[in-house]
Amino acid sequence: MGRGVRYRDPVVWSVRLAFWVVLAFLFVPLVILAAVSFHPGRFMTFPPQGLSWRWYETLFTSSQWLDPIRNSLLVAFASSLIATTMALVLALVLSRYPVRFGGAFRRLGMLPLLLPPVIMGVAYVAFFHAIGFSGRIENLIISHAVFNAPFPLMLISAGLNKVGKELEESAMNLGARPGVVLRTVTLPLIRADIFAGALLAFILSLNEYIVAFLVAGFTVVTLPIELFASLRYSYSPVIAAASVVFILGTAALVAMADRMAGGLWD
Amino acid sequence: MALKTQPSSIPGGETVTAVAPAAREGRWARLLLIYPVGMLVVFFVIPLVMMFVVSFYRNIPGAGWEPAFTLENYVRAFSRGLYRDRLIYTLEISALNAVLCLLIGYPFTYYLVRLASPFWRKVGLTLAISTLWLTYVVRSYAWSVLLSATSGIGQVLFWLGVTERPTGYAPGPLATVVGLLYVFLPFMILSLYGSLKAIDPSMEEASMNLGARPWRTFWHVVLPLSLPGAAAGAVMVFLLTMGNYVVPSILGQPAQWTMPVIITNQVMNESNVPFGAAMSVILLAVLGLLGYATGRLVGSARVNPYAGSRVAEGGERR
Repeated sequence: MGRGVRYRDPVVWSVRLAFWVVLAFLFVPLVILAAVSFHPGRFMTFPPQGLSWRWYETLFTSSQWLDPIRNSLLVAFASSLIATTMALVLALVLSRYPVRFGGAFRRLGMLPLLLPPVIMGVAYVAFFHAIGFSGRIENLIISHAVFNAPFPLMLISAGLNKVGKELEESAMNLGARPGVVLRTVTLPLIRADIFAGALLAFILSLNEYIVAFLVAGFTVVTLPIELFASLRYSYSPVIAAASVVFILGTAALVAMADRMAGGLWD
Repeated sequence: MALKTQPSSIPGGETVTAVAPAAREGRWARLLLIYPVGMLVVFFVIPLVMMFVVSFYRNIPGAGWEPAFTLENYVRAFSRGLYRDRLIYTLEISALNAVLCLLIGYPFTYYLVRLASPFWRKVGLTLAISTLWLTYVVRSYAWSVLLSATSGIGQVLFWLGVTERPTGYAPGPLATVVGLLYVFLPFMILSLYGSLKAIDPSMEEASMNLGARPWRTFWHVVLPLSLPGAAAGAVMVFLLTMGNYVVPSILGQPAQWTMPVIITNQVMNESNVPFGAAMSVILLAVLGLLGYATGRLVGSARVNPYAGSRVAEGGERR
């Protein structure tokens, strides 16, 4: 333990043990998934019987999996674009101009974060059914956009706070028009936060299940929906292979967002 | 404060030409708000209102619903033992999960925060919460494999000779509890990390220098100081568990189904949207009441799944 607090005490030792047990608890399931995905047999027996890429081949050659992957990427891309532009306009205007009810608008933008997704999903079912426009991919894009907008909103607001107004004011004092200031000073300064926010919205949309299932589950199949459905009706290592692809993709995107935001945590 | 007032303070001829576009810009800027606020009103507020309205509609089996004002959906939700039991079960398992996450997350996070090297601290935190973004479907599936008879622990126990034949534990009560713990532990760690990190290590050193043993130091110094973060984390985990659909539906048998599973089944399988909406309103009311009460207890700004992270810094600002 740090900073001179060194004791050969059973409490200290059990805490250290607990630390490693928890880390194992978090990672063993994912390692087992990877093992299953490389196992040649339909079922993973112990001890294992060799290595094979066959499940990955099936994954990337069958339309059962390729179509959902395409749908997921399309929904994630379009919804993160909408979420980020919404968040950017909201954060920028509220932080730089006096707006009546500005605080209420900001809280409204953050509210989707506090709502359980299943309730939001039921609300969308009622809403889209009532306006006679259900089961479309557009519905899914819009629901994900609104539901994930709090993340870019938080990151962009934090970025604007950090940057401060001094540079913008200097530019204005030197005679730059507001549009020029926005384009040449403000946006470049918060570019990393905008991209990090967009990436988070993208990741969340890619990983979201229940809103997608309720909004368009029977017509637009995303990757989590296909995963869920196939593990209900069959037990195949292809699901494990798809999961591994999912894990690696998400990890890479989170690492990117983390770098751009200069550390998401701590 | 505002940009548009700034140029007026400049002496000289620039002033007049600078103020006018700035003021115009402010008007344009406020007009732009129509886009995000309009989206939020149309696609967030109105759907919720619509759900509330539909919860009073009458269901027509096989043909959607008809506008009406009936309380029969609510009467059904409260009068049938099945739905009442599900709500109580949901509250119970959510409370259990909050306690488990706290008991397991606390020593872990305490050790993590007290690591001497900032580099390893960052690595540890990143690892601990790296599963947070991964879809619940994959995380639950991982446990259903791990606890299965054909590919997981069942095979290992059989191979070791502990059991006579490979046994599976998923789906079932054990799998549901473990799965919920697995999925929400990172949120607890995140919440605890912020509050434990804020405690100055010299406080502990002072306590030790005065002769207190580590356990006594922990009990009288660290624990009281970390209580707000621990409480906020527990509340967060409780509320998130109550709203989770994927884990109990993949890792649970019908006896472990929580309110979100019942609601989704009503909407998707029974096509009874009014009843699903009524139960959603009930769940939302229970969550809102609990969230409000506990928010007052632990500080409402902390009741945010990402409180304690840099992500949350900009959001709850005044």
